[in-house]
Amino acid sequence: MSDSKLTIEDILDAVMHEEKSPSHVALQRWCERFPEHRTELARFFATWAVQHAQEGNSTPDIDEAKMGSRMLSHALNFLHQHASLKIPSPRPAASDKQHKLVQAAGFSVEPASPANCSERLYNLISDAGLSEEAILDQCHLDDSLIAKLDRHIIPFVDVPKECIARLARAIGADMKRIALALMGPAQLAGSHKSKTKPEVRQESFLEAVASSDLSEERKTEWVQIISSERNA
Amino acid sequence: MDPQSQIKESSFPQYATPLTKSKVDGTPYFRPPKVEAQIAEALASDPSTWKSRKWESETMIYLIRLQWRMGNESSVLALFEKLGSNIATVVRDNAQGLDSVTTEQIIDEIEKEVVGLIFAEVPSRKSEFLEVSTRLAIKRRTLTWIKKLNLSNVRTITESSLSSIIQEDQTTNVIQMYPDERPEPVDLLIGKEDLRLNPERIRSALAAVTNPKHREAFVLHYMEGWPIKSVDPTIVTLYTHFKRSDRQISTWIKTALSEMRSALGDEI
Repeated sequence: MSDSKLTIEDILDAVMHEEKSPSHVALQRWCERFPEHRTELARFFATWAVQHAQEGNSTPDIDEAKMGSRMLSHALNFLHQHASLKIPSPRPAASDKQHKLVQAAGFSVEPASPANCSERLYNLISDAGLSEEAILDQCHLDDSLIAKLDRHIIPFVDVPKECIARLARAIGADMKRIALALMGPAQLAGSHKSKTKPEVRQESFLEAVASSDLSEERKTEWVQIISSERNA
Repeated sequence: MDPQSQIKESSFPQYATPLTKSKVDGTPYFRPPKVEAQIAEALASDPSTWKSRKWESETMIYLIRLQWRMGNESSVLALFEKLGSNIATVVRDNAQGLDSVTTEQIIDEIEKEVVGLIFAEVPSRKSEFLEVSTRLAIKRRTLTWIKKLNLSNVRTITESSLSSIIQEDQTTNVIQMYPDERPEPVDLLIGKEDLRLNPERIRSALAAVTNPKHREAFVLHYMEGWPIKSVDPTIVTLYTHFKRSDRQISTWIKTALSEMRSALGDEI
């Protein structure tokens, strides 16, 4: 009966499934089936027996609603830590500082909800089912600019509103969602091997445009947009 | 949910994706019929209405996985909160004698593990057992954590603990339940005829045992039928469990009984 793929947890799940109480007869039966786990089974049955002997006693005072919120928090943390999962996932809420920056940029901010969580620009694009080329074409950007916006190499305060508006239209998302995706600490590209974390050099939107592969016509267009927004 | 009912094949139409794993004896896992019915009902309704419904935990786990894969974040988040509350209830109900802080720590750890299982890309026995019986899966984890933290020997015992077990077994004579051929220290301490304790007396007496190991030895020996020692090495005994001499264990039980007798005064 012993299955080499079975873990002790699998066996204990089966014990819980099949036994109503932690009797010695039941323990012996399981030890005969899985003699290699005799010690673990005995310890588990002993723990179960002592807890079973106290069933019906007063139970600890637990705030179940709070534990429900913690479960939600664990789920969000898990998804944040496993952001490489391809399936759309909830993300951690934006910080107060980010909200203030968004408000300073002229966007209204609703109370925390899945819609105003901080997300990466690339995720928004892929979640919308769009190709990067389509975004570049519609927004008059190139791939270096998109990469710098995604990694926050360009500080949010330096991103023209027109750029945010174009991204929002192209992606089909709310402007404030785009704004939240564009803010936060600058991210390193790839891995690094040095003991100290290398510094990320940030650059202005104009510097990024100047070093981009955009046509001269589009570079001029961005210079004019920035100029008019600053004078507004 | 009755564990036995879960192993019977569901006759309800399989609207949910079938489970793929099997029990340790090779028979496939099936969701309880009630869960299958709830899943079918949920799939026929608007997800925005799910939050206000009362679902079984197994149903919520299925719906969370389904909605997450479909990118319906708001339904997933609401269900997670409700599932977390359910998990807290199960842990609390199986953590008699533990304090609130320790119990919340255990809930925290179990919730993290359950989240990992829910989002597992490849199903496993553990992840599917959650869908077969969430309550038993959580109870097992609670006991495992208590064992890990060595908390099974907590002192707090209140009324009603032993009575239910003994009433369930329809006996009030503890000694006669598990006769031991060899002379017991208890026999030297108190005559067997005096041990015809009623459940309430045993319960209150057990609460008076100060050393957790002594109480554990008493519970295992007199309530669950563990022999102290056996000539058969394949038999699990108190000797193999505690790794102490049979004399030492007998002394523990004797001490436990002595404390129980003191607590009960002239009753035994």
